[in-house]
Amino acid sequence: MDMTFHDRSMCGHMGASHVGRQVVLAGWVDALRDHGEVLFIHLRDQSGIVQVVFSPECTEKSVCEQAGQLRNEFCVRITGRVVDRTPGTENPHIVTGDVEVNASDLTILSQSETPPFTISEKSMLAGAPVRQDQAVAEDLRLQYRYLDLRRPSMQRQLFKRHAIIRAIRNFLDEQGFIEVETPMLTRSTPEGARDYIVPSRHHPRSFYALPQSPQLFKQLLMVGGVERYYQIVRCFRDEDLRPNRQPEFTQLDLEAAFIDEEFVYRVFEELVARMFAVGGIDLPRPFVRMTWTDAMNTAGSDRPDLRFGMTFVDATDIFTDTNYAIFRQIMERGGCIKGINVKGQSGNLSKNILQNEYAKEIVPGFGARGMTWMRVADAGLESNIVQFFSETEQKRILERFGAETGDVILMIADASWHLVCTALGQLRLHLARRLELIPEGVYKPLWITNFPLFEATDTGVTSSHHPFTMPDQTDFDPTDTDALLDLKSRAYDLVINGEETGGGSIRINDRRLQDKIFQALDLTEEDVAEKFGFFLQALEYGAPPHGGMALGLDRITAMILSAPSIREVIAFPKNRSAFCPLTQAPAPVSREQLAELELLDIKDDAPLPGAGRQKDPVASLSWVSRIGIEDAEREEIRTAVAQAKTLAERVNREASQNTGESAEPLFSVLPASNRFRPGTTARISELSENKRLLENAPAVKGGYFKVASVLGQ
Amino acid sequence: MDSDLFTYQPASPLQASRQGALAGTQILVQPDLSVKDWLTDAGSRALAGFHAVMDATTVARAKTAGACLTGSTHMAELGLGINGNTMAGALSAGYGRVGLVTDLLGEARMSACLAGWYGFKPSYGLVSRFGLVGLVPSMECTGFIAPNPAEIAAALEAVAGPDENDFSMPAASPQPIGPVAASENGANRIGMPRQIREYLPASAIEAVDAALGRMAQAEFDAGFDIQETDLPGFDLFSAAHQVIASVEASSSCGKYDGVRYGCRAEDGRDWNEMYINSRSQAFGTQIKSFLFQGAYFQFENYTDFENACILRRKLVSRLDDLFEATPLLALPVRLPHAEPERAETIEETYTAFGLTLPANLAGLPALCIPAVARDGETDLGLQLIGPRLSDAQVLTAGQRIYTRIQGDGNK
Repeated sequence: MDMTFHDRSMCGHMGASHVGRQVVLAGWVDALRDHGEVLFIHLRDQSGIVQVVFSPECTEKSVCEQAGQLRNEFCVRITGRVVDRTPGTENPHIVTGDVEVNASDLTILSQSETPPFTISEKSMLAGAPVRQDQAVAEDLRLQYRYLDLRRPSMQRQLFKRHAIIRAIRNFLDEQGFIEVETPMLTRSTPEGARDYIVPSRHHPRSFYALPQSPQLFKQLLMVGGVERYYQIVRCFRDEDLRPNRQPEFTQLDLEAAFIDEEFVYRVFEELVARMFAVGGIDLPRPFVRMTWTDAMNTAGSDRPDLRFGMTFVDATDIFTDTNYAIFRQIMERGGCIKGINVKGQSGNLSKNILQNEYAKEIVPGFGARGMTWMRVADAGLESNIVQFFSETEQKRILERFGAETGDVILMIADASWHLVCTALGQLRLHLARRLELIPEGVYKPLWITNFPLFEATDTGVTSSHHPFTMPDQTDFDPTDTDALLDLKSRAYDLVINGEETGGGSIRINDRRLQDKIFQALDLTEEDVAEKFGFFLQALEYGAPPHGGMALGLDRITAMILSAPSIREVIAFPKNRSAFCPLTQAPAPVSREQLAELELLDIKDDAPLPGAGRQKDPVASLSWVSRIGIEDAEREEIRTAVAQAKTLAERVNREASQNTGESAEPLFSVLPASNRFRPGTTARISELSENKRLLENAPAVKGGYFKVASVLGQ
Repeated sequence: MDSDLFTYQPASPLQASRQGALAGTQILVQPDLSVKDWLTDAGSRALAGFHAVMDATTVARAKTAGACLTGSTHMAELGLGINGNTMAGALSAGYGRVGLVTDLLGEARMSACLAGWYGFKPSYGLVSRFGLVGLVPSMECTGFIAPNPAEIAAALEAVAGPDENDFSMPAASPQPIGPVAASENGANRIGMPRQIREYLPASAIEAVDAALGRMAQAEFDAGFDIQETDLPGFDLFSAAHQVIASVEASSSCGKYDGVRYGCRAEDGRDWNEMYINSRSQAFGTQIKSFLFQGAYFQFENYTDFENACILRRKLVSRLDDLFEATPLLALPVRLPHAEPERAETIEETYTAFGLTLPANLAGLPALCIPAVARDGETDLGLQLIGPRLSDAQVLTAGQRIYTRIQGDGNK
């Protein structure tokens, strides 16, 4: 009797209730164990793994022989009978470990090459350790992503991601939101990052932009009377490379009319709680709310991590009349002094670590000039500068910081409040990580509110979020820079464990108010009309009050699933260099394609900013070959490059002359005949093992070459 | 240590064995050839303070053959040209009997010519480059300087041959050397490309003609048959060499990152700045100019490089045709007006080595014979060049000339 896929059972469902039944299974060979006469395989499909046995007792000889050809990742269909395992041979590593399938028939549906890395994650033997993720190079995984996705752990990520998105859709559907799609081919929106642009063939030399977010379209939907909109949407931003950033990413984008902040908080607290529940995480509610100013003052960040303490203590007033010269100068310049108490850590923070690592290296890296440290001993404060503090000052420090023996008090002082906060905030995080003060499995969501509406620039102000954000008051003078900088916005960010997971605002729906904002931003009417004239026109037709929010789905999913990077929760991500090893994108296109788009020989009369410098061939060569030039040698190098060009003209002329000789380039007079020497095996150099290779290095640390960081501070 | 001459001079000469073909022969090297624990900076800040962690294959083999290493002499930065090169001086001062000089433009032959010694660049692929710092992998070759071709042959014999550590070498290369017998005779045809005449002033042509004439004359008794031959596009060798060599140099200098060795700039907030600043300090202006030329071809006009390689094939095949008619080719070593030891720019350096670099481009063995072609006070040097792997024939011919000159002098 030939069974087909209609009767297929799933491997992961096999259990005691199937015992005695004939089943058809289909999937991939996860692992094999050959005992001569008897062959065991782990058969894997989307649901899980079950052990299949080929033995002369229950399998025909021809089937056993065919099974002998099986290798890892062959795709097969197997017919067999489910039986209980012999007591003592159960496998606790797999759900179906109490049963196995005695094969009676086998069809090899598709053979597999040897995979470039191990896909199996389950041991076939009870006592053997469960296989851990091997250290497979990520680019190799991404190049063979279709194999990587077969791994049960990757399958789980995709299933959970699906479940999280389904939870979103279910909830928003309950709340009366509808999902509306907005265009992918659009024009540049004012989000501030670079656009990915798409040339148009029908409108030569004009370009669409891929959306950085559907910001303007969702506001237009509000004007269009779609009162409750959401979308699971792909967004594109051509930003600088960061390890955990993707050029395209998925957002939950939401907007609603006739609402205020409380509506957004209510919807999103429930929504985010349901998303985390998919991962078995119960979020504490209601979410804490904190103004931006408070966040800066207590944790030095607009996305504070509240899973641990060490919040800031202000000590400015203690030192109003200090004799300590450094503090006094800072006080005279209107500065401030803040500190943290690292409770009970003086055993882990020696004088050497505090002075030579933190005060000299780490804290200056955060932008502060210095750090003051004090260890709290039984006899009082211990420090290299404590003798400069009066007894009153010392006593007030101990009181203010609630200091006890064994604590370490760290203070940063500077004329700039902002600098004190941000530097101390980074120090707080650095210490928490170093001292392992951040608890696992704890989630602290909070709303950050009342952001500054504007930030100062060299010439005036710029929007902190985007120019459509509603200010907290509307009767301001758009020409008074100081007053503008005091304005707060009706924007809010959702921060979880120190990560910004989403944000949004109540928007401006009044054309006159919007004009005032543009005036404050010093945008001319022409600029405004050119950039978003179509949108402003819509505001003139009875736009309702509205607001909304966007949530970064990749990041929040990675957090819910405790994935080490967002690439683990995206089926086909780009690598850290925004490159796709699987498809090799981005890639050059043919000249024909460019010609069709009329993109060959684009010449524009308007010079680009900085183009003059770019055109200096020596400057670009200096960059690509990573060789700096001293001023004194620039002229000689220019001459040499010019000479090289002349030389090349001669060479090109002669090489292209048809002299009847071979025109095959000769790279070496000796053919490279033996790059690969058969019979030799890779070995670790003796010079590496005895560390002699390190002897000539200008800087070595802990048995490694020491280099500058890849990204600057 | 005589620091005017030496980059490194061991407290006592380094001799691993007292037996072998080179037993007791004093050898001088340059600091681009690794001798374990010796300062090996190749004359560049890019390797400032670098002490070799193992011996180069040539060094190891010379030691096994009983040679005695007396020191390493100053060299031009990374071996491009001979400005600052003290090998000739150290040999003349009696510090060594044989000098090893990396030859990528003609440095070994030119140094020999200046010292009045014999200088030889072997066929490409005959001598291992493992342990050589190197600059232009497809052209450079360890060259030899000695008082006569027989001693060059002995040193070459000792160090040449396959090396599994040098991936550019064939697994089995012929062993063409063997003792070079002075008595060996036989009529050899030597060709001189007529195109050279456009290169040289009249006095130099006279000197070369006179030298070749002596070799042909019965009274000189060397029995060479001198013919004028045709090598069209002789000036293209230099252009092709420069394009290819600059690209290879740009590429092979990528390793000087200031991380594993060499100098590291103090400032540099990130990786890129660290590289740019360190490499700015690592290279002198001449080498830097060369690297920029290479970078220009490599990054901006790669077809120029490919075209130079096409040209290289054409020129190599023209030389092959030439050797069909005359098994040896004669050229002067230097131009009478050029001063290779003072060349400060790439252009000056390439001009000075215009007559030696064809052998590098084509990977041919070339011997510099001193004191036969004099233009007034200047010894122009006479090169004998043979087909690839005819090293033994070239050295044999040279030894015959050497013997006749010695005999001549004794008369």
